[in-house]
Amino acid sequence: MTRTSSASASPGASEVSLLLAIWAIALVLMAMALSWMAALIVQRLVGARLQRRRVARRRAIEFALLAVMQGRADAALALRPYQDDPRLIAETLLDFLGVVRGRDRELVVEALEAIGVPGRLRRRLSTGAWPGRLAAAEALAAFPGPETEAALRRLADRSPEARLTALEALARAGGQVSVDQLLDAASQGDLRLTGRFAEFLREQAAADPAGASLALARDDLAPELRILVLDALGGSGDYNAITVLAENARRPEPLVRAAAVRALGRLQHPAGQTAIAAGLDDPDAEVRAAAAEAAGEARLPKLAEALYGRLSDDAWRVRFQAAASLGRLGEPGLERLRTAAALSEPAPQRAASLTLAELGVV
Amino acid sequence: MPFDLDATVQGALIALTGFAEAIAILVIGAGLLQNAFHIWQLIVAADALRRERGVVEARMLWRRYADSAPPIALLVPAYNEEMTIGESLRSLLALQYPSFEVVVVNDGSKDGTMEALKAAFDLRPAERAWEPIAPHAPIRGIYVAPNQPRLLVVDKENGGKADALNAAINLSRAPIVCSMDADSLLEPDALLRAVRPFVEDPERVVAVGGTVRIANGCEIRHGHVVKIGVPRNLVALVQTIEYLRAFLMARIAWSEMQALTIISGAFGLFRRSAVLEVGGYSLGTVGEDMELVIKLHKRARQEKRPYRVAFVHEPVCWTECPEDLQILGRQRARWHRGALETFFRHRDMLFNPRYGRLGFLGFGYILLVDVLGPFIELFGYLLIPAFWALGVLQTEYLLAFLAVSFAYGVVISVGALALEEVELRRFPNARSLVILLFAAIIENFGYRQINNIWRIRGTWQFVTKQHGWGAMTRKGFSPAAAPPAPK
Amino acid sequence: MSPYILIADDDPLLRAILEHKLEAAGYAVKSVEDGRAALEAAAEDIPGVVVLDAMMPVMDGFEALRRFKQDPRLADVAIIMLTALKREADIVSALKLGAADYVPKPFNPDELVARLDRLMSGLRGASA
Repeated sequence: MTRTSSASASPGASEVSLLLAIWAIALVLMAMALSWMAALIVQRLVGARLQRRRVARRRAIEFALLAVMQGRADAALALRPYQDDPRLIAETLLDFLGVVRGRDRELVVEALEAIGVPGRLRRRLSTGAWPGRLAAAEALAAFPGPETEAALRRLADRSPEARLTALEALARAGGQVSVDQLLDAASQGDLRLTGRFAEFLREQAAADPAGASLALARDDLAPELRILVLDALGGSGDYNAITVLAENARRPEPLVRAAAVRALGRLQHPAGQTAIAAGLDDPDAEVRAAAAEAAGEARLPKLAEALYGRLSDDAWRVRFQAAASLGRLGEPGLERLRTAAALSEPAPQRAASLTLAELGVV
Repeated sequence: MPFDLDATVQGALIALTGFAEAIAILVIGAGLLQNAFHIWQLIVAADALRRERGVVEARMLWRRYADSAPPIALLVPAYNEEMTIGESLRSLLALQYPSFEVVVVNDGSKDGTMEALKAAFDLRPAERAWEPIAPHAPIRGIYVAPNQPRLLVVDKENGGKADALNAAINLSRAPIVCSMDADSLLEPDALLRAVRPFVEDPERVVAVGGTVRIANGCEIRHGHVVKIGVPRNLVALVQTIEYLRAFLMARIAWSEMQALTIISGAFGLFRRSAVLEVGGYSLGTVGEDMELVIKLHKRARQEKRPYRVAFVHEPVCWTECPEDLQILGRQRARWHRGALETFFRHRDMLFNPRYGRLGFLGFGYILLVDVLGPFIELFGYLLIPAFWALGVLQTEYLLAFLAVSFAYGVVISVGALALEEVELRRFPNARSLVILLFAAIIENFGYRQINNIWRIRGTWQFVTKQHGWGAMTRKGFSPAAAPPAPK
Repeated sequence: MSPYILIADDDPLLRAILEHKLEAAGYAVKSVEDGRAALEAAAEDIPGVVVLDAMMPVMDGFEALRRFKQDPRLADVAIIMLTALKREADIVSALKLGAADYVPKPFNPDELVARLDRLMSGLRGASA
């Protein structure tokens, strides 16, 4: 179509070419997007077959492992065709180990060892896509030994994520992973401070409370790490930790003090009483709340009067925890809750009466 | 005088041409900026998805996260849900997660929601120590189910969704709360997937959004999507593409840029203490979910605290979308009104260096696309073809206008669909992909323009301060409403 | 027909393992995918023992357990909870609801068979 440009002031050549470029690029991109999608649709048609094949292979591995569990000696041979897919074997094995333990687990592990699966898993650690490598690392925890340990330690030199997976597998395979080592790695940024790391650190610290107590003696430890170790000690059930916990209940960082007091509560030993009582008068509300919770957790009826005082605290969390703990102290606590529920001051009255109502004793 | 008249016409034409070109440049420029940004988002999202390649199996997630997963409180506001509430709660209580509680709030329903709850769970009145931190309408009663220790039911006077969520937050005790709609259909492993950012970055993460997808056309049984399908209704079909674009492309990219401002009200996880710190949801707004996220951003940036609003791209929540243009129009006008309300309430953040990227990119985008966008687009559709027909605009302008209004839209919609197929592959077969490809193309011709009219209506409602909610008639997820199961 | 063992678990691998082990131990086994299906199967043909997972779609194990105990025809059926939930509160609430036993995953199949033997023999003794 021809446009009469007698009327229009014709735009400059550069403008025209810019406008045409916008149009042309749009057409090119549209063609690219449509052909990409067309290719994906074709790929889907083909891929459906591959997917079915993978599912069938997985079923076959599961079936062979079930036969192994029945004690059929030749069953492991059926696994040979899948040896070249360590990721599939690793994932299937992990699913098995997530479900069974005991003799059946041993049978499965032995059968896989017999056909050389651990070696292939160790080699898979250093090649291929990352999800496959991490699955291999997790599965290797079932095959402890010096070679596995060495392979996992090599993997631990890679990314922080790989390092954590490798250390977890190493610990599960019976390898040495000390609290000190974990704290060092975390302090240097070689391990990220994730919840998963926290859980792992807690497990290791609970398994070795003496080592964990020693680690707390380091003054340079970052507060976040210190809190995790304190938390772990609280769950360890080791009364030797009481001294260390009481020391930490006097540190300058409020969150550390709170964690130490909470841990003392969880140990449920009367020796923690002095530190917990001091926590009830801490200038920081977070620490007072933690101490109030700990007094109930450790069932310390001697702190009932101090808890009663906390029912008038400025911070709601403290009032609430104090009331909840009084509810756990039996008659001395309930008596004070009833007294508070009859008060005319709204704050302690509300905390006490709601707690009594929740306990079902009015 | 013919010559002079001619000259006048000539002069008027030149003036008109100048005006037409100025309008065209404005429309094309704005469109180009918007499209370029979306294509960039597509690339950012593709890169992010590639990095996290491979959807992790639920069993693997359980093994990795079960021990370190923090307790979660599911906040379920219910308003006139008599028919579906029992079924929805049963499917929620059957979620895979080591430790969670479900706090249901009957928001003064006018139907028998409360009676249905009492009958279904054998509820008993109870008391719970709690503190009214976030504001809400008075509570009439608190109930527990003797055989479902995870369930807590709150009966309160009507106050709207934000009001009900505030009550639920006050009464919940878990450190993480999950806001949702009573009829959101969660994947069994939704919490396990969505909690990942909280587990991996416990210090910084304050909120996590999850992908919401369209349940229309899927096979639903007992509150679960058992087979994914493609909607047969055209209105729902184009929304499927729209949701892919919004979640798979835009939100992943926004979260990569650390400027995610929207977490869908149908599914979002928040750190309870952070929500209470900003006073919970704001009452009396339409876009309370967006507003809350902005408040969280604002607070953290004001205090110069390191924080993150994260997003999980795996589908975690399914929702029924309207299949009727009128109802959809009301919903969209309301959403738009909500976005505008939030924008103007926090307009001090726009281009404010104190709020970093959020002020420049996040708020700049809302200004360009939501505040001005609908009008610029409308100008374009009305004026540019008219100017061209009058002969005052060169064909090149028209072509560039068509490119920014339609062609790039096709590129982005098809790109988002391709991204889904490459990284998640949740649609069942090649046939459904063909249908979706068709939808991705045609939604740019007609649907987008209608949507623009709805957004202008939303702007009008915002300016005239109209209140009241567009009622959304839902079909309900009864087995009868779901497509028949293939035998 | 002698009483059979009903398994409800959404994990096909676990169902396969249990079917294999229990059939090898000489039991008749039936397995289903969720709590609702378990109740339906039990109503049709009352099982000797039910092995219930806790986290299942459609209806979870705790809810199914509660309904078993409420149904007068099924209230006496012994139920073993087999689950990945290890929190004490979960164990306590399962036992309070009337579960005969609580076995955490991963479990030792031989141990589970031994527990089932005990429950099933008690059953035969009672009916004899």
